[in-house]
Amino acid sequence: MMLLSCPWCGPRDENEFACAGTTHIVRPGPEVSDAEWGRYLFFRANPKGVHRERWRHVYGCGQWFNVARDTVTHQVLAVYRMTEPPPAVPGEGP
Amino acid sequence: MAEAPTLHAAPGITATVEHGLPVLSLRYFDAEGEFAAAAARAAGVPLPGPGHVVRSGPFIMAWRSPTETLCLAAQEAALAFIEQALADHPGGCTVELTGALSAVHLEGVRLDDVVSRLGGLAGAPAVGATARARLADVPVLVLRLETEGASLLVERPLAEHLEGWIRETLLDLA
Amino acid sequence: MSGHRLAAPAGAFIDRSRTVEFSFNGRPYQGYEGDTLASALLANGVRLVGRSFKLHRPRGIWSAGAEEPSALVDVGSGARRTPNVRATLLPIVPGLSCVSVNCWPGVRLDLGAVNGFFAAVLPAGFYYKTFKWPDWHWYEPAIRRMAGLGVAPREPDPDHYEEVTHATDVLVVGAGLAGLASAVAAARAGARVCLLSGSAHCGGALGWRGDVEVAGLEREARALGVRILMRTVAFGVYDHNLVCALETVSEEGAADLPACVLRERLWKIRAHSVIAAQGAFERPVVFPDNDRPGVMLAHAALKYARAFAVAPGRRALLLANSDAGLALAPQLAACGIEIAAVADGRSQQVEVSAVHGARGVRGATLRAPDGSTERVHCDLILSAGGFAPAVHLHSQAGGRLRWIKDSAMFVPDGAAPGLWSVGACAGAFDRAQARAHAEGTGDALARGQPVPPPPVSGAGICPPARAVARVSGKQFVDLQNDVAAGDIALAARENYRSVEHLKRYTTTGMGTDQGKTSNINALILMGELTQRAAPEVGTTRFRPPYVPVSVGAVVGRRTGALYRPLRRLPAHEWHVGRGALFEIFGDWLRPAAYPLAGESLEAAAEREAHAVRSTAGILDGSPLGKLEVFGPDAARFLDYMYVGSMSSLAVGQARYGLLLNENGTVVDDGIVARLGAERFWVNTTTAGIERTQAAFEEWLQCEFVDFRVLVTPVTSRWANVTVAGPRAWAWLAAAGFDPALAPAAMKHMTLKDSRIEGVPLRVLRASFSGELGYEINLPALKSRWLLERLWSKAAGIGAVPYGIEALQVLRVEKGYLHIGTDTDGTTLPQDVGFARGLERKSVAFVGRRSLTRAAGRDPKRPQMVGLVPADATTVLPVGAQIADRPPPTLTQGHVTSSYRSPALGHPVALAMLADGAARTGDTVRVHHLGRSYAARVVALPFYDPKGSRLNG
Repeated sequence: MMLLSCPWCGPRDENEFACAGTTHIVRPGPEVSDAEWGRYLFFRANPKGVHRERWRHVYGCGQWFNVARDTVTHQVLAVYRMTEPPPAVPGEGP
Repeated sequence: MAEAPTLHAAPGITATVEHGLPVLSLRYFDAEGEFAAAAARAAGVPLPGPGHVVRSGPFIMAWRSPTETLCLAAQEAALAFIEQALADHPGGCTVELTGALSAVHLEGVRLDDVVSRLGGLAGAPAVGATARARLADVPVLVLRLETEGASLLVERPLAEHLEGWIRETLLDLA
Repeated sequence: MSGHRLAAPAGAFIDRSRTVEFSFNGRPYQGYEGDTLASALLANGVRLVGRSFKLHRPRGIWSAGAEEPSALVDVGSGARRTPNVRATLLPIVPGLSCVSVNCWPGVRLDLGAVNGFFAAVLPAGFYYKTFKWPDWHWYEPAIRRMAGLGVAPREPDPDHYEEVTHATDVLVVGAGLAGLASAVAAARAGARVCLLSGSAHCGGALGWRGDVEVAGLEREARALGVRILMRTVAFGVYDHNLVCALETVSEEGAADLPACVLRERLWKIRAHSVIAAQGAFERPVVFPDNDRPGVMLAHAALKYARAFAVAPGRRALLLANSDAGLALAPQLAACGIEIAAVADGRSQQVEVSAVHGARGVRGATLRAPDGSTERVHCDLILSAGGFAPAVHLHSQAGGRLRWIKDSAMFVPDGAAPGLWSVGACAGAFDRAQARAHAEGTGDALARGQPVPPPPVSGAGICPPARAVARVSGKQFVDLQNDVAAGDIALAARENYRSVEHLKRYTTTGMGTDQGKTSNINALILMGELTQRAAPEVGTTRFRPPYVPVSVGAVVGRRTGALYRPLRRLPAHEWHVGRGALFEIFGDWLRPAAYPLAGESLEAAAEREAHAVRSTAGILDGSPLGKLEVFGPDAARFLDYMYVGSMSSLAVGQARYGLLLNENGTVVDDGIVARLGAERFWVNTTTAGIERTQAAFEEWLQCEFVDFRVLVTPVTSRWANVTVAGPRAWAWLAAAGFDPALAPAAMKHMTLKDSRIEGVPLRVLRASFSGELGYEINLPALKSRWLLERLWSKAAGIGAVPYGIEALQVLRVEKGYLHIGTDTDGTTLPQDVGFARGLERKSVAFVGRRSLTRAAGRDPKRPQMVGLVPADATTVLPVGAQIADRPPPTLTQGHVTSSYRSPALGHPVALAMLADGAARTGDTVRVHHLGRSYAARVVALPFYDPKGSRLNG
């Protein structure tokens, strides 16, 4: 059970949060093809390494925030608010 | 009106359950903006920052999220004053929540021992602080205003579950 | 009689002034306070304590700790029976009653021993090859009965378990010399320190030797404020340095316990740094019949002698394959155990070629390299085959291992993230060096400085394990699962060479001892058979729990009424008074119906539904999700969230809408009403409120970050009293409601604020039943007051309370969908009659793009239809498949909701049917569990198609 640092509430156990998967995904406009739209909906990179994802502090302040996490070691490399620019973290792939 | 409070006790700790707390939620877009300032004037104290709670006159102001402060009072009438002061203000709104929240008040030297047995926190937050966490598997807002006391605020339909967990904990507290 | 009690001053753990009576396999025995069951049995000369898992071989006490594979017992009886307790850790208490496991009728005469005669056809993996013809199900019941050891209780556990969350700077696991030294050093440097001792004694392997250094360290640790938890075993390291530990609170098997006690405590400890100081296990020597009662780990025998004043035997053969093992001989002799012979196996010249005595060692035969043999008369064979540092926590935390060839052991290779090892578990066996390093580690971690590497030394020379060649008799590697060297050879021959395959094919290391004294030997043997060194074979993945953990400890308080957070209606007691039959709907306890005496649930639901259509009914709708949405962008935001335009609502006007996800799937529905220029009232389903609120917040916080919208959940603030039926308004009027709410004055799908006796109301004219309906929202605390006020007028109206079952009947008669019942993860709005709503809406909304995909435009998609059974009697089963012929065949759809309709006098059902809109009037076949029914497809709704009943 990971320990996640909510930017407002501080470090809390993982079971207080809900994860909504990869963040920083740019939604395509409605004019794209069905295939492109399907890729946006269903296709995600599954990196062995740094993954940028969004979490919500469901049992706490209810806020969404971004996390850069290593999917192998679970090390949390960065936590930043939704409106903050994503900080660079070491070891991140292209 | 509110039901009579129920009480559980163990050496070094008592737990009192209270329903029907008068509560007003202050919602605003900008915690530093005009609405928040107007609310501070009406309450007589600046709105508390993240994770803090302050008492001011009849009001207890508790931070709940970057866009929400809870205002508690002993009487609903006191909340009406703030409600009117902020009516029609474009920067936010008030939402009456009286009856939505129940409280379990814990008092005694074993406060941290009890809180640490509810799941999410290793102890009560510091005096003057709040913590919103998963206790007894439900979302709870813990307010710590005194050294030996804290109030656990929970949605009323979940109060029985929280109370049950605390009651059993007190029975086993050695 | 071999085992016996030794005279004082031996016995560091026991109190000779307090005798304890206990029973084992029905016989009474005596021991001293401080004895474990194992030490007390040995003191009483008992050697045969169990039968092995597969072959039912006689077994005795093998060790003195958690690594015990053989001496497992069931403790107690009835609800408090605990199976598979290690006798080596179980303290005896007055009235303790234990029995051996896996033997019948008893451990001395065990019919299961017949398995031993079939050992040749019961090697590792036998069940992949045998007991298959003609049908393995023939053998399954017998094999299942034979598998398993102890007997689990069938009654519910009466005891309590609790969970404690703890945060600290430095957590030290293990209270031996290294653990205590590091804890003291960290505390001196100013850190908050917590120290876990798995047993009831500090001092580890030195404590029971009366070592003054560890005694002094323990005193100092307490004086420095180190929090020491006794009888607390750390069983797992999880993400981000979460260490879970199990504390034994009440005595296992005590006879005079109250009805309910706090039995165990689960500690969830987040430490900034963890120091592992768990010591090392002893590895046994491999030789034929090395499992006989009387064969034991050598250091365990010393522990029994010094700690418990028990000599496990009179004459011992010491098999010393290591320097440390040889050093034991004089220590054992000093305790009063005669050393019959010492076999120095460090060069692996002298081996045991036979053990004599099946139910207890009577002697052994040693064989020299030249083939000459020597018979040794002994009743104890002590196995000292080297050390295996306890690297479990280090490995669970992600640490690596390296192999120390000279000592044939794995040690941690550097630290693990957040976890450092000290003492024997780090490979540091030199006492002075280990202590210094442990202190340096504690101090460095307290100060946030780099930690020095451990001094790996002092374990001495020990060759890797080897099976004895050219002998008969099983040479056991894993005693608990009866895995012998021959099984490992079989695995190698059959190409299960990888260590993970070796484990699963032979089951070595898979017992309750998790291979603590067998895993290393097993992988060494596999390596020798396949020309690989031990590190090339490697270890299997270390997983928690390190010791067996009771389910109760993990569950904690989550049993009975606290099994899950169950929500109650604000006026729960009022419903109890009306005779409600409660069921769990989602997270809420709600009345399913209010059956009269002798009435079934179905009959009650039909009666209530009939009453709602003839007079009036009252339903508690408080769990319905409620949100207040405020802001200059609120209208625009709701347009985007819903299928159905919300911005065009006038103040006081309400509209039904569907919520889709981005894939276009219908995920929730509800009514939205406008409260003001920038304020909306949103109802969601009861089950969907959490996810809908979460979706709104995700859109607002993550995507539309510039929208000025505030969403406040108010489900708990407002109770909902729903009154429905042709006499609904008459009833409300009789109860004193404002005439401004009368149907003539208030249109359907509008919302008005009102008051009654000063209590504020928010009244919505809406209907899920199809009758004139009012949803009266009022402060939750006034819910009971209003229900009683209405109830006082009910008799004059002929009104009844109605529950969820009746509500379902009513809404199905009207063809109203229920999210999650009639919809699933594939349902698009056009499937449930919303095609026109989509066309009319001009602005974008969530999911719109997905609706225009080819699959979304396929006219043959399943669509919601009504079905009436041809025989007008059968209630079509929910889930029944619709197809031209019985299965197996392609399905055209399925039944989603089905009830007997009191309004129509025959059953009705909703179904999803391919191309359903075009099939009205068709007869279809509905199949379920081998039976078929004919049904007619009809247009919805079944009842009151013009909707005229909505106005009363």
